Amino acid sequence: MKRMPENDKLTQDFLSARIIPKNQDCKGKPDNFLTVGKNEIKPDAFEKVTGNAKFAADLKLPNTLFARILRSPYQHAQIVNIDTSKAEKLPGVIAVITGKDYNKNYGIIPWTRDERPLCPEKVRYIGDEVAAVAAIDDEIAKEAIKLIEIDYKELPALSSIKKAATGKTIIHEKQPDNITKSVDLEFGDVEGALSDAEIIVDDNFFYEASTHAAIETHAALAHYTYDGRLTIWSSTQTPHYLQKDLARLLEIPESQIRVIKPHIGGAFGGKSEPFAFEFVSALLSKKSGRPVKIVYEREESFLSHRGRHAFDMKLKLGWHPKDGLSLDYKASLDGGAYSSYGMITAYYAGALNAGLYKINNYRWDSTRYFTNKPPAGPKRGHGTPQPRFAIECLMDRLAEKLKKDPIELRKELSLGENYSTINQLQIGSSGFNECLDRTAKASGWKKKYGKLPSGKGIGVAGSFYISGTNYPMNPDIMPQSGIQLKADRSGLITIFSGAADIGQGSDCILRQIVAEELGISVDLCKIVANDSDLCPVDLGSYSSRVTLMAGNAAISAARHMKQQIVSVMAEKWGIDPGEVTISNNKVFSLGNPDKGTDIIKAIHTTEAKLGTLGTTGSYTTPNRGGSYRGALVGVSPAYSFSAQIIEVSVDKDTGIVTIDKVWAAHDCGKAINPALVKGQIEGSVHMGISEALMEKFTFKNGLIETPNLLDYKIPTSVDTPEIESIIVEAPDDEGPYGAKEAGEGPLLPTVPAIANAIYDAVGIRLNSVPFTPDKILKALEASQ
Amino acid sequence: MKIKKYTGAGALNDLLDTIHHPGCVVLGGGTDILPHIKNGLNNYDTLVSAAQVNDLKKIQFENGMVQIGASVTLQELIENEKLFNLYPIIRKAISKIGAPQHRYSGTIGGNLCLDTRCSYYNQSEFWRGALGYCLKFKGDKCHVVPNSDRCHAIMSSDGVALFVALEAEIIIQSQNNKRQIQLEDLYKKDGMNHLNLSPNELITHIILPSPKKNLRSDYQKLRVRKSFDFPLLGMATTLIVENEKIDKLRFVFTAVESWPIVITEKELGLLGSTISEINVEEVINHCKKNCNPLNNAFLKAGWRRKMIAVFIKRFFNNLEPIKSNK
Amino acid sequence: MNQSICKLIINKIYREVLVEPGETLSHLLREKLDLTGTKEGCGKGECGSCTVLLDGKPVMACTTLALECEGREIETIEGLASGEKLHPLQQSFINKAAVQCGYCTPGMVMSAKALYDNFNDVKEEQIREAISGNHCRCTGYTKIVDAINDAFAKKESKS
Repeated sequence: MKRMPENDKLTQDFLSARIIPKNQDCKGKPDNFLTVGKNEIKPDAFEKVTGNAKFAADLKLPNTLFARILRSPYQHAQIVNIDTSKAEKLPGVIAVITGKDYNKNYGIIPWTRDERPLCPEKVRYIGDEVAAVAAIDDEIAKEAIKLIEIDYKELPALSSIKKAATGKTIIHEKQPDNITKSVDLEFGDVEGALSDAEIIVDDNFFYEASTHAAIETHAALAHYTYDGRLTIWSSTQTPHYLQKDLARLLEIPESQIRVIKPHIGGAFGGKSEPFAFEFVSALLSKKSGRPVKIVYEREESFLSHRGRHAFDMKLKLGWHPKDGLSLDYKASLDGGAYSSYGMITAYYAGALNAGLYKINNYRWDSTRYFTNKPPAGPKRGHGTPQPRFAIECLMDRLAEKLKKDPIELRKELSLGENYSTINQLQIGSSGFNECLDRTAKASGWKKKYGKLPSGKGIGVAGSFYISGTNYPMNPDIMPQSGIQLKADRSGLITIFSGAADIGQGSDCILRQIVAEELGISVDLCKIVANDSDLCPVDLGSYSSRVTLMAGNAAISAARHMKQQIVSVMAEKWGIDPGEVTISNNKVFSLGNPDKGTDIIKAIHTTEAKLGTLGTTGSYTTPNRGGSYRGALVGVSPAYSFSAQIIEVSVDKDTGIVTIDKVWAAHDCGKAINPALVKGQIEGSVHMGISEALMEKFTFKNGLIETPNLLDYKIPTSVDTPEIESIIVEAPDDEGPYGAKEAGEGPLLPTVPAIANAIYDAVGIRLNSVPFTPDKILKALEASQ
Repeated sequence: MKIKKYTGAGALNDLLDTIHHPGCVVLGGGTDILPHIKNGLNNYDTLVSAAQVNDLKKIQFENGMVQIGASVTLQELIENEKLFNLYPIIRKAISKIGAPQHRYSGTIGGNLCLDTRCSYYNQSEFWRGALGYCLKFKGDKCHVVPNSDRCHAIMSSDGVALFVALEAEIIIQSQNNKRQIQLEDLYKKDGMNHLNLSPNELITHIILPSPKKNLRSDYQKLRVRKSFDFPLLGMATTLIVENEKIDKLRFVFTAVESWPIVITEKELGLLGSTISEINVEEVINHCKKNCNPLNNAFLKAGWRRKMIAVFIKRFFNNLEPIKSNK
Repeated sequence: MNQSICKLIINKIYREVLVEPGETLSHLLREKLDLTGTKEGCGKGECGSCTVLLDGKPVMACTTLALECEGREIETIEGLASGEKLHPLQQSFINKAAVQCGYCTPGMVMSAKALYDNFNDVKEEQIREAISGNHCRCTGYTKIVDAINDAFAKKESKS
């Protein structure tokens, strides 16, 4: 961390001072930044390395009760009767609740609310929540749920998409076809284009379901007090939506609910909607008048799932020298028992497929089915890694047929900047070709591709991703993100933010942005985040939206504050406000750098003149997007781009793939904190490798086969290769200083790059993720 | 099951006095027993710790023989230089067990007694309840081989393959008795109750013969991750060639059946043959005939079975010439 | 109940704690002593978040019985910093951006410390091996390995 010495000369301040024009355009002057672009330390790092950071499971209040949930052992059954009397009589049990204690459904998408915190009449998967107990300690709560007697009447169960489609039974009465959502859209004339195409590559693909497996399991502490207020500390990525749904289900006014997000031990999409544990702990607290804590066991976090949907896909990609690419794409999604985000997933399954490359005709048909399994939802990349895998594999085959280098082909067909895709997505900046060039150079691609000894191979893939969505799940007229700043007489600027730092470092980014705008050092900025009583709303950490949206809101709030300080000081000095700026904790006149004062005195002067100093800023997405039904999914203010090159070794005797090295370039527009951006790239690649080679969220008799971290495989430090991350910056006009997302996009190319590398190594095309050694060996044997 | 009592035995006699009580289990490092208890996989209510019994914590060398106490940790086996010089294979094989923390806590006695594992068995109480339990515990049906009258849970210890290949013997003690048997004879062909050990008996020591001159040995382990994972297949091999004739050739397979599968030079008809006379394909066929893994571990049984051939080929391909003057 | 007194040294301080016979060390630390820096991610020895040092050796506190620690020395993440000064590993984790969500961090640092206390100079391979019983779902381990390397580099330059 480099910082200017405190007593630096004012002339130096003068040189480094700058005014960012209102349009936020900062292309070409990155060197002028004071803290943006520097590896400032995450403010939470200190408490996390010392064990002082409190996660939900670490919290305790006096008189706290412990809650446990009883879950269905049946895949699909009617609840005939529930008898809780024995549990209620167990000494130490304070409250018992069942489905009858809630009157409303919940669900993150307002149009598909189909879940109850506890099932009142019917269970739809093994693990579905049925009843809950609060007791004076965890052991008693565990004993008590065993005493609850339930009569079930078993129903036929649907375990696969195929079975769901045949409709032998109905999972949700309102959807007799067992379909959450079906999307069928065509842009251009696909059939015509494909019949004219000179080259067609097509195949069926399968991408297995996987789950988030954040190392922290879900946990909450709820406290309902007799003044009618509910406070809940929960491991959530979306505190604002939790507040709204708690209000609806518990029939408490939103104003009386306080949601606090403590530190979150990883999320990846697995904590991005309200869950049973939150409603259950809240209601049990209300019923008992005591704080209630609930901590999921590892298996319960597996059961809560909302992870990656399994996708069955069929793709046909056509190429014509003049008409370019055409794509016909069909996908069936295994959605599990409830909707969760599924309606949106069905759209994401197709929305981002006509981008990245110039696809001039595109047909997309995606259907999400209900099955009697834990509900699938959004996992890092939400519905897009699956088709991206298929498309990037087909691009590799197309390059082979055209006898072209796959990187060259991608560059030729990439859509470039300021492009409107056939399904009407407005792409702004794009650093895709630079990502390809830089990974090619770093990896020595030209010397390796097609030239490595048998068993060794190298592959490439690309991707792009949204930086938030223009249209949130709960559409309303208000901004998506707000920031409030308070200037203290000590000089400290407190940033109040509703944005959920889930470990990615959004608190750090916001601090850097405010410090940058106010010309002060980061240690004069403190963040207070995720307490709904204190902080303005941010919609949550999903869709890779926080840096762009909360970041823009922070710029806006800081500029308002700077404006106030500058105008007061200008008036005092009798000069034009345009002549005054702040840099390195000093306020001074541009024309006469000797005329200056430190920020603390300037704050005092401003407060004396204007009263208590506080400002707000907010971010509202621009109006964009196409006109067709569903056109608003996938619409983002800015898109990130990624390319990866991966080198692998394939053991031809065993089928075991070893990843030797990964070169991952990611265009994040502007790296506000390069170390954190690289952390996101490395984490995404790791998860991509994991999905490519190991992760299987599969079932036997309706039971998750591997609901523990021993059998559900995620790679350890000795299974993870060297990852060289390369930051590419193609600033976007919509992003703060040009910044775009970095947290999800870099996962997308990993899986197809590995598939393409395996082909380069041993000449087999793999269509089914994960690439476990048994599959690879089978394919090798078939190819011989 | 809730644990009602814990005894930290200080001396071997105390330990032997306690273990015969019903519901009692000997605790080594706890890395397997505690997850078992948490999963409700037994009816134990009393834990007796063997970890601090000094008599069981030593590695002793006498007349070339090695006596390893059952409470010696896996990490201690790895770190012992003297042991490494006699049997380098021990370090290689034991390093492949679990994750570092398991090796620091886990004892070799515990590893040899590791319960058989199965994807239908090593699950939570909730999971097994939803399934309707299984033959091995609380249920009456094997889900791996329906209608089977025996349990097909898998022998999953790497240490067992290693020490059976090295022809280790074990000392078993009870209050009134002490016996010494071949380690191989400890295991029964039954996944449900896989140890020839009475409730009042305890494995106290492992005895290794003094290493034969010209002993060559190897351990190969098949697994998805290079840490944490139990074997999907393990093969320990020992080979002794005297005057160019095979005196001993032992393949011991783990993670195939409920017991370690031992294939010897005699069965293979290779006693007295030279190395160049070995028909590797025949060895493979014979081993495969005796190894029929089932679909109750992470990857497909067919693939795991195929890997037997790969392991055997690799053993012979990597065979280093005998180092003289060792 | 069948509680008994367990005497042990935790972070260099002698403690007497009333424990249940089946109680795990992680339960004792977290629930009885409020040492919540030790995390639980699985409860079954499958993730490494609860790693502490028992007589200097890394073990998983969720599968270690509290009573097994009688008379022994435990070191947890809370015991690493001395006074105002962070342990070099903690400082390196901060400097190298090796902390994301931070849930695996305490266990990861403890595994690294066992290595740090026993070696002066290590290869990357040894570092990866030493933390191979600690799952991290955020970082891809790159920056964690960097951080541990960095702490060792500083140790070398000091000695």
